Amino acid sequence: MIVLGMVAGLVLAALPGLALAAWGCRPAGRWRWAFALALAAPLGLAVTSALFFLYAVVFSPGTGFGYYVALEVLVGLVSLIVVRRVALERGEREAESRAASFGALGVLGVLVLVALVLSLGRFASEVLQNPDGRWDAWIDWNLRARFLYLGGEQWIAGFSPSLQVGHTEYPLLLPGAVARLWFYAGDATRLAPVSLAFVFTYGSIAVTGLALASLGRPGQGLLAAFTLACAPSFLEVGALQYADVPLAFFISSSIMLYCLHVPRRGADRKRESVVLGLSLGAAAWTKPEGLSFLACFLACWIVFEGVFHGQARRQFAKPSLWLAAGLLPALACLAILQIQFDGSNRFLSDRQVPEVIQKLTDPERYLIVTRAVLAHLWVLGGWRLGVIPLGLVALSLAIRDLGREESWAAAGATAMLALTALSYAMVYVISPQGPRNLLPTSLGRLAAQLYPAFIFLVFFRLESPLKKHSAVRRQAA
Amino acid sequence: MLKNRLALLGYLAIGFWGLLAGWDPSVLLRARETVAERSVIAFEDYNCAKKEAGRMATVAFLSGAAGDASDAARFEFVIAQYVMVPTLLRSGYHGEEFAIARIPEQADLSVALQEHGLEFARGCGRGIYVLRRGSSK
Repeated sequence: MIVLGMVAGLVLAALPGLALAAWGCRPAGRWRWAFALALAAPLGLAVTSALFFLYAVVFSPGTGFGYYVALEVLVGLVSLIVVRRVALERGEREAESRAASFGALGVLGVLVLVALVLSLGRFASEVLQNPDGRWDAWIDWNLRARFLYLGGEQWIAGFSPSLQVGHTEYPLLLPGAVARLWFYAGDATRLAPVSLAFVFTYGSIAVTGLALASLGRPGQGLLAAFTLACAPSFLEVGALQYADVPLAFFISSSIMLYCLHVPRRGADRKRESVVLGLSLGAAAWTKPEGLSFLACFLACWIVFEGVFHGQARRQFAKPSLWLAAGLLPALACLAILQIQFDGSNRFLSDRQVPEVIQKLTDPERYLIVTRAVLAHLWVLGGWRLGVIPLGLVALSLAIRDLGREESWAAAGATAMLALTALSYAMVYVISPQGPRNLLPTSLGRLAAQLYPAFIFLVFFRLESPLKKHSAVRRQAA
Repeated sequence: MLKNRLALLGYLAIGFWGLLAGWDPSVLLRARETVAERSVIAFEDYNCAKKEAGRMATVAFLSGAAGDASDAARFEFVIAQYVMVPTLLRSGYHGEEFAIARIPEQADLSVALQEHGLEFARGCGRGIYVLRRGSSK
């Protein structure tokens, strides 16, 4: 019964996710449909987690849960109708790829499949050795899920400053999703956080590979999926039930949706903008770093879409408004968290301006952070020899000659990611504990947050590994 | 073209090497055992608990409490009831001493613990206590 309940909870989350992804991606080809499928479960978990949070705020968790389930079933049925209607539409054709004699692509595909199976073994080993996850999972995410599941009317005690050891101000995507599954299962089973860890870890791998495939780069998609599947530290962070991999999923899916979205300038981009906004909102509803990413994304969106790109400037306002509409549910949840439960960020709110300035002007702090980041490049993703293999394969594959709009998308997405990385670095610089204390425990997890998006951008810029057989259709403007 | 293929093969080989190195697949064959051994629930001071826990397999968490007395009183109940005891009992470890908890200084958990067949074994400072299965249940 526990497993059946959990499966029902996952399916009821995936249905609205699939409807939104399909509606937003207008899929016409198999890769674009597969990409929408990869987006479905995580996006749906974000949506239902927000819905569950609002239900908890209004009724307190557990009260009238049958009615809540009925609401989700209704949403699921409507989602099925939406998916059917999208399937009947003539959607946007995905970039063609004549690449690939099936033979060469097939061999690469088989090798990637082997890597995925082995990585599943490694992921399962991590889960078995850490069935309750580790520190952040205990103290932040699953602890608050427990308050949501077991607390009844007292669930808000999970926000009390008495729980000072954890971050009571953290947003609730993950605790909400875990508690929701526990309600469906009727038990606080470990399977719930573990299954979410699986969905987000392998969702990140799938969505990265399939986004590239739907952009006409199936060979690069396979290599990107391989790179993530063979990244032990990424698998480990996912298996330990941290929120960093769910955040990595939403950061990378936002970057991918942006790259799919930008070349469609001039067309009606309402749907794409709404789903992009939802994905960005989900990032902000996962972890405070997601808010950082959102701010960096919006800054680059304004610069690349509104200021520099003359042709698009006239069409800037509408997509921006739809993007804001997609962001609205997550921002509303964050506002409720902030106002109702005093979810202010202790790290930022207690700081004095002179203290921050003093840290900002301390060159030693910059040196420490720079050294640590450079050193981390040699263990990025847990790959043997760090970034060297990626660099070598990049050199051998050569830079892909992109069309105008794709170049623009790549530049915008790179700026978004670089600015986010810079904002993370600045947090280390101004941290009250000092970068020396903070870096060893968090740098690997922050790198994991950006890793899938980084790998996506690397292979987005590279030629196919099966170049001889491929004829790439350039998307000239 | 050959250079391209060699680089690709090298990349795949390094990927597999990284994935397999340091992985002990036998963990998968001992799944049940491993989960029972590693049923570690959070607590505040990991190093202290590790040192204290020694051979003990299960470590439990009880939040530290600050703030006013009413908050502490509330947490005495909320945390004991909702966080600590269920996780302890679920862990399924049957050794004599099996948990370390960080306990709010203001809180008196003896009743809540007794109800679940637990009692304090000894304290090790900073609100961290070793618990054991009591005789009352």
